[in-house]
Amino acid sequence: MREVLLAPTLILLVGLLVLASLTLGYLELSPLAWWRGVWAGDPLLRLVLVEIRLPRTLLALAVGAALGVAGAALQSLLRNPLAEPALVGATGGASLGAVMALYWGWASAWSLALPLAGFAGAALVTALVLLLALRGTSTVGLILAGVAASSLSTALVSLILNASPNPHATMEIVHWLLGSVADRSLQDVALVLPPIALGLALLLRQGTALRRLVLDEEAAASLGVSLPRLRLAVLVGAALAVGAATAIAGSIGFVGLVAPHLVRPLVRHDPARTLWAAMGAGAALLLAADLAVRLLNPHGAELKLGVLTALVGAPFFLWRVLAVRAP
Amino acid sequence: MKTLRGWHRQLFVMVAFLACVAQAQEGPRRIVSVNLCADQLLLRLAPERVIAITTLSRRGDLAPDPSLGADKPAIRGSAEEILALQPDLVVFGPFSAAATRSLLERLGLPVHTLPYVESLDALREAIRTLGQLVHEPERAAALETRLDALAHPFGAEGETPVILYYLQGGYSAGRGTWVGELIERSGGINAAARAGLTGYGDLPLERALAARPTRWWRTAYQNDTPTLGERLLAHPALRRQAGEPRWLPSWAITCAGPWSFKALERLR
Repeated sequence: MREVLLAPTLILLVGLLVLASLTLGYLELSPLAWWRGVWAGDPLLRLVLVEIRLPRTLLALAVGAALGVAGAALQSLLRNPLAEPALVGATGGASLGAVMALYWGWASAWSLALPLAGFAGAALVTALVLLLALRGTSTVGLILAGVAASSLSTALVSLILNASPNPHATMEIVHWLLGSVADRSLQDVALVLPPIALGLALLLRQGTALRRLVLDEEAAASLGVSLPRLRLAVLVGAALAVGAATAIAGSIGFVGLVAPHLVRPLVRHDPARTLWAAMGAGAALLLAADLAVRLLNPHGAELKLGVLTALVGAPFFLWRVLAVRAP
Repeated sequence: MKTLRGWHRQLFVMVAFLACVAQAQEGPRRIVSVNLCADQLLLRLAPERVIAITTLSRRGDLAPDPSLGADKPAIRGSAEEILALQPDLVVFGPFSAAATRSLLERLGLPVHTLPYVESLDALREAIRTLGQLVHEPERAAALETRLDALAHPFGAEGETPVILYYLQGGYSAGRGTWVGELIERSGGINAAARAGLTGYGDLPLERALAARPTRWWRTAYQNDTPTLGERLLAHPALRRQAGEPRWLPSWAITCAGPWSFKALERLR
């Protein structure tokens, strides 16, 4: 694909997916009848559009963008093609923080506690993994540290939910492991959109520094890149974006891994432009996955997002692992 | 001599028969219930002969009247506890402890299993059967009469409320459920059934609202322990469509009985 066409293509794709996400749902109406009804001012249809489908679409958009950019930034920073929010522990840590806030009642006492706890959890666990991974730059070291941190947070999430006296909490473990943006409200969107936007802004500003890091760390330093500052910026940015996204949508894997890889060849492996392109690709991937969960099983229990992203992501991940191992 | 022997035999048969009848009229004397719903029915049918109930019947949120049977020992329902009580009838619920039940059956204890009740007719049948089993047909008939007196439509004249039963995480009750029966018997339309739900299950908010509910019910079960699913019940779209929830006590729907309809009276 010609590079000039990439941005318009991504924007068009995301636009179409947004339109589809607002059009298709559980109402038994043809798309035409649906929009006609909305246009005619049917109060129920407008209620569904504004209060249910709009928040859902906005969240899929924001969460996908957050995961895509965070994945691209982490891959560039660690110069490791397998780095992604879930693998470096950000997703698991954010789940743990959000679960503590929700089930111990902090979130109902103070609504901001939810995104803040997600941020704190993501930042803590990611910092731990990065510290371990930065000692040696080996891929194996990063994966092992990430797996350990993620398993630990998953176990703690399950422990907290199992200990809750409410039987519904146990069922909700699935949500925190596989993620969903179904039936969220505009308040939820308002709660997490600012931290996601802040995190994205911070990450997108690191493009130049990440581009210089492609050479190697010393060369980057000689070009005026302050590595500690860059690391801190990526860590805080990723924790803000992924922490807030996970706090409301649960842990969604593989989007952060796949999105940057999909677009990187299209921008000639330029880390700075990969950030922007991964934002569009991540949003498109998550919107598509969220459409699929609605359409695949319309009359039974809704599938979880993580099921679909894993179905696409896991084979991709294996392929990347094999590619990394090959000389 | 020959005739006397014949007379003897006749007398013996008659005495044996009378003894049987007397025994039968008394019915089981040591009834143990190992199911909350069985507790509630037995405490109304044969309170004098129930010797143990479940610990759940002590809970104010699950038992319609926790003072009923407060003098009875409460058990958790293990085989050891039951055997130690030397019962002559053990009543189980439809889904309770299959292993315990088959163990007691193998040991020769009389065991009765309450059916799964999802309709008024099924409830009548269950009450009648249990009444016969414990030899209290009159009390069973009285309970049925009370049921009929309570199970009638309510709500304003000419209004057919569309009622959505909606719990944490979007859990609802559709066609073929006791909750659906309660809604329909009280003159309403079950929104979840209208939305295509059969049995109990999760209903996406969009489909729930598409059934255009005019009221919604929730239960107070564990609503003081926060969960993610509790956030769904705070969704503004739900209130915009169906208003503020009416609170149904958990005991109204945990077990089917006259008390279920009694609880609905408060929602009028």
